[in-house]
Amino acid sequence: MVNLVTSDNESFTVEKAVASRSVLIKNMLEDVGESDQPIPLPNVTASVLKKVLEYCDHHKNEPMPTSEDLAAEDTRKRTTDIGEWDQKFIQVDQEMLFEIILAANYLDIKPLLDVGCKTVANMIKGKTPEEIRKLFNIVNDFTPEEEAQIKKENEWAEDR
Amino acid sequence: MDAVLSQLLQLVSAEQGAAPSDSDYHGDSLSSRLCGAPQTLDDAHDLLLCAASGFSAYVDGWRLKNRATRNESSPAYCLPPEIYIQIFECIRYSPTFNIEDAVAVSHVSRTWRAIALDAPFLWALIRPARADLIKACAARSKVTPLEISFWGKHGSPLKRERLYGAVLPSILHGPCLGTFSMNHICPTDLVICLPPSAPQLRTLALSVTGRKPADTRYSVTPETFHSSLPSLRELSLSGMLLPLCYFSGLEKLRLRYVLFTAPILFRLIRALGDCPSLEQLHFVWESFALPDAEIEGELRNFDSPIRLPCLRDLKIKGSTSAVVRAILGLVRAPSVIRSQVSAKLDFGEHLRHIFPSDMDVKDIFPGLSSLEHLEVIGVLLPGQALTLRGQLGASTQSWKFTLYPPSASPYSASFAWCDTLRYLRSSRSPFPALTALTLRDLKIQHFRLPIEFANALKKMHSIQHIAFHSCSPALVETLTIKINRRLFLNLKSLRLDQVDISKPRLLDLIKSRMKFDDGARVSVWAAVDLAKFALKNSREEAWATLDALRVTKCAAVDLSTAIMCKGLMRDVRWNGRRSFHAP
Repeated sequence: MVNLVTSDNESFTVEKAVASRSVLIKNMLEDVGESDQPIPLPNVTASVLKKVLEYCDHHKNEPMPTSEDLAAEDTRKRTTDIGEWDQKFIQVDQEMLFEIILAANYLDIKPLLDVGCKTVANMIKGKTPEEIRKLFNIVNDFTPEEEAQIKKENEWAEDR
Repeated sequence: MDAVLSQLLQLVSAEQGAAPSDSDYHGDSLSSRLCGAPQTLDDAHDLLLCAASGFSAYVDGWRLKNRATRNESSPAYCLPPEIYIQIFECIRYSPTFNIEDAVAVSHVSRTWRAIALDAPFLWALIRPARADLIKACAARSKVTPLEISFWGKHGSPLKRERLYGAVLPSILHGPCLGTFSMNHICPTDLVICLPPSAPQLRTLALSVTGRKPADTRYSVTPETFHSSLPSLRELSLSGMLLPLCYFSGLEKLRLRYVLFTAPILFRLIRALGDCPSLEQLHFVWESFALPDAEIEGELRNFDSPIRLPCLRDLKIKGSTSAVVRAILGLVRAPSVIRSQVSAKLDFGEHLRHIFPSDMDVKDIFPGLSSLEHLEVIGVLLPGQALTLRGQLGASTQSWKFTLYPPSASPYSASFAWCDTLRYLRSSRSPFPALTALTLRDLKIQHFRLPIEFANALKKMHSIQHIAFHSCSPALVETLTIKINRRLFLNLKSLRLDQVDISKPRLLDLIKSRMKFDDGARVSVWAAVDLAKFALKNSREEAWATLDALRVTKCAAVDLSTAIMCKGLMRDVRWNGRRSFHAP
């Protein structure tokens, strides 16, 4: 078993197979060897780690992505399809979604990062800039000069 | 007035330090204009205008800063740029991507725009649009191999002179052309636009009109083609031809609606010999024929077949059996695992006539000799195509032959199909290992005489599984009567899907192929009136036992019939259910 400690000082004891879905933790375990020392995760809060571990536990028996898989990344990029379980898993509020993406990036869990990025990409696709701003609570901060350039680019697209 | 002006000037002066610098927006500092009091009313007016302008700039800057600060509190802004890049990659490589998606993300905010403009891949797919946007995309894509696609119902909205004169040369001559597809082209104009060397071009798809052309004037001869495309792996040509001698590294070649003459077709096949890596070869026409005499003449000049050791996918569609036979006779492809061949039959022709010779079948499609399951697919209209579809293994290998009758006459179609089926059971059949046969959508119109069809299937003793899907009642009835006797002696399972078969006919069939000495079924056997059923109708010892039945959506096979069948056979499934009982 592996003991993980979050930024808000909460401890999680999980199977090694689950924790090792994170390349960061896997490497740490390999470097440290057999040890009871807790592994600190200063960039992850308890609520986010709980979700991440839920994902790792579900996928613990799947083979880890190999270097060949990573080499075939191009193929993977060409789809925005997300598995059924992953889709349900990632149905969280926006704040948690971005926290999960950040945690997956920090913990080096590539498949989870893919799921997060694909989810955000699917949210963006087909939307106008105004709709995207509304969706992510972003305000238009372009300077008047940039606005003029954007207006021109919009004319390009409209004139198709 | 003086008091208002004085207050405004004081306010602007006081805020100079805190506010974003007005010089960012107006070039010179407002403070330099504020030294000294106005001497005249005009001076005061100018000064007031200047102060108001400075104040307005200050407010704009303040608003901008405020908006940027507000964005920082958005959860989306917590992501670092490298994750945004991954998100944009997902958008870019989705099959439904179009340039509006790239434009949209670059118009959301200053941060998103900076990231989007720094992501060359987002701008590497160029589709018909205004020349300005094409140029912007070409610049933003930097060194990413460009995917240029001018493919649409109405071609490019750009005027032809502008397209060929300025736009295409400027984007095609960049060093990063990776994929280029375009329809509605004029080949001679395009060939002039193509760069002398496109070292990164891997995929080229060109179509004359997007429709079939009227003649072969669109062929580009080696003399007029001067481009070097050393990386080209995928070539799709519709209605036109490029000289293949320049593309020895080709892996995929798709030719659609190219109206070859016999010499050009044979020259092309000969050139394929210089493409040893070819994995996919497609010839697609709508309706194409060559005179037999011309084919014979060219064949005489052909020394030996071309060997394509890597070919895995072969499609020949929309021509006569003579053309198909000529192509198959000149190509040896031992690795083919997926083939689709369709041919329009002449009078007296059938499946055998699309192969150059019986011996060649094994050379062309070695896998056919292992094919176990064959599907015979008819169509709902009389006189139309009959398809034979086979699959070997776990869907990795497949063969499909579609045969078109010589005329719309049901009789000529019927004869062609029956000849085909007779060939399937003959010793020269390309399918000696066949154990399963599916008959789908075969209507009475295909076979004016169902008995003739049944006779064509005679002696197919290797068949163990037969399935009827939406076949005509007359055909099903004829075949079931024949099965009662000596057709398909090794039949072990029967599948009936949306066919009209009567209860007595089905029970007779089962009884003819079941074991009498099965003690467990005696009572049920009696229930179907054993006394009236003559033993001579029962299965002979050497025959296999029919012990599996699947019935789906057959109106005449009701619950009571299904229960009776269940009592007679080991494995019965009725409308998808294994478990069913009398109410």
